[in-house]
Amino acid sequence: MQKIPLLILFSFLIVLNSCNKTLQFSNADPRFYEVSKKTGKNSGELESLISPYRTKLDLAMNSVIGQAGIKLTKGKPESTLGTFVANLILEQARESDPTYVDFAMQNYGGLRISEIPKGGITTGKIFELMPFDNMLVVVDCPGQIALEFINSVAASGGAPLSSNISFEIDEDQANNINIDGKPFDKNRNYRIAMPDYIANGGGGKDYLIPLPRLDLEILIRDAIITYVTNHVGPIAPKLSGSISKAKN
Amino acid sequence: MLRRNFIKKIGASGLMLGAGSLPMKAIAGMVTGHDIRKLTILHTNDVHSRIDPFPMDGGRNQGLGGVVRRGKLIESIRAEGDPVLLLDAGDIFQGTPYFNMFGGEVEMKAMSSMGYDASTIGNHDFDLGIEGLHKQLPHANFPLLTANYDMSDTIMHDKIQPHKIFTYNEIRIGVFGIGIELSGLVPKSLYKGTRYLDPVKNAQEQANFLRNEKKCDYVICLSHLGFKYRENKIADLNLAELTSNIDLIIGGHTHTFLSKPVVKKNKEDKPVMINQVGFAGIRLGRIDVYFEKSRPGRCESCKNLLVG
Repeated sequence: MQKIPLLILFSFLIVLNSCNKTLQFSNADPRFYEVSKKTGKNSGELESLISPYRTKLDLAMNSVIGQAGIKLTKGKPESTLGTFVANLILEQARESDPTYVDFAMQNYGGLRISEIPKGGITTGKIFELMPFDNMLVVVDCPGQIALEFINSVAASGGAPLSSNISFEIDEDQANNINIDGKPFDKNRNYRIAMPDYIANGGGGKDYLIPLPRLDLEILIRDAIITYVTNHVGPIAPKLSGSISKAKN
Repeated sequence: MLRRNFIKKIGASGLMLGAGSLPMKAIAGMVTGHDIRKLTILHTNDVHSRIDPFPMDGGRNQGLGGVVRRGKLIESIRAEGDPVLLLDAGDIFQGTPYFNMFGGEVEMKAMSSMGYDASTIGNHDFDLGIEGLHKQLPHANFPLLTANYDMSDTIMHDKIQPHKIFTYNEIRIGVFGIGIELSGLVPKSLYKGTRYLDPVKNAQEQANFLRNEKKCDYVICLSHLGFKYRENKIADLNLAELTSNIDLIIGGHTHTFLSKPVVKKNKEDKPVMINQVGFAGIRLGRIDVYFEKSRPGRCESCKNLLVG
């Protein structure tokens, strides 16, 4: 008996309540999911969309072309992965450029994975390391510009460099620079091998743009694949401690 | 008086049920007669062509990611029944041989199949040139949003839009895109005639327009500026502080893994939530947003805004 008036009152209140109402943001509840094998099985529409591409890709990418004798890691001021790439760039540049090449630099951000695990190295892994179609260039730098270039590497905390250059990083400057065992000489030119990305002024190196250069027409990725394929025995670069933080 | 007591009583029992957790608060709202509506925002950034999970090779991220699993996860969240807005903050391209071999076709097709609603443009989305991006657009059934890349002199001139408005259960959501300065990051030969416009000015214009002209209840900035920088450079954290009318910034570029979103006060002292979920599709971000339909100033569930 009492239920009916209450119900009427309640509906009346709802009608009354809905005048002049707007939506107002009240709250946000954030969370995230890790996408792992616990997330779900590989089946369904997406799987059938991807699988023909995967088959083609696997065919091209899954062949093991060499062996890593140690885990190669990327880091600053120097690292096994960075030294490995910079050394092979220098080797490739010296082989392809009839004029002497002094040293090589690979920009840190151009290496896109943090490590190559110990064991078999696949073509696909090199594509992940160097997905960009960067070409190898040798830039002829007057001493003063070469010094600015080396200092900029020091200021960034280090970048992959060939083992034949050494210096100490003191704040944003390179001290005691040695190249092939000789002290840096700002009165001569240095020919530096590097990715075209840097030679074209990338990474704030606009001052390299006007300099004379030789475009070797070699993809750095191809140079890495060729090196790994032809290398006899496991690849195990050693750090020479050639780039170090100055001890103050 | 009678009404107040009635709501008070039921409200109290609702709160006991709720014990502070959000979905329960929503239930409490329903019990008290408040009209509370929910939208689930899902987001990724910097997926970088990670179609398959990272290989089981002993690497740090081995076994993580993969679009098939992400698709399953999204499907299961959609099955919860609330409306879902699925967004990406750019750098769809580059990072695995899928991109080198197929130029971004697989990425766009997979995102379309998962039902992405919008993405912004990252610097790496120019890696095969503006033509390379343009070529993949037929495979994308979602819009690319950018409010500070002027592409009017490029082949992309009619292929991008600054914002899009989504409406779910009367909730109006305005989403706009903001990109990073390309000069120094991408060779000009790739981005061609794309002009970079001031991100703060353009973000503010978009946010004002969406809030004031288009009456959006919630405004989202899809940003590829980056989370923050040591140097004084525009990033999501200072964008939030320098603007108003933005509720949420979904960021990218710096591959930042946040354990939870950061909340900053905007220039009107209102909270802005900033989130980013690392890279490579290792994580899927989710933000459930709640709206209450009530008279201005009477919103009962609005008192618990997250700040800090």
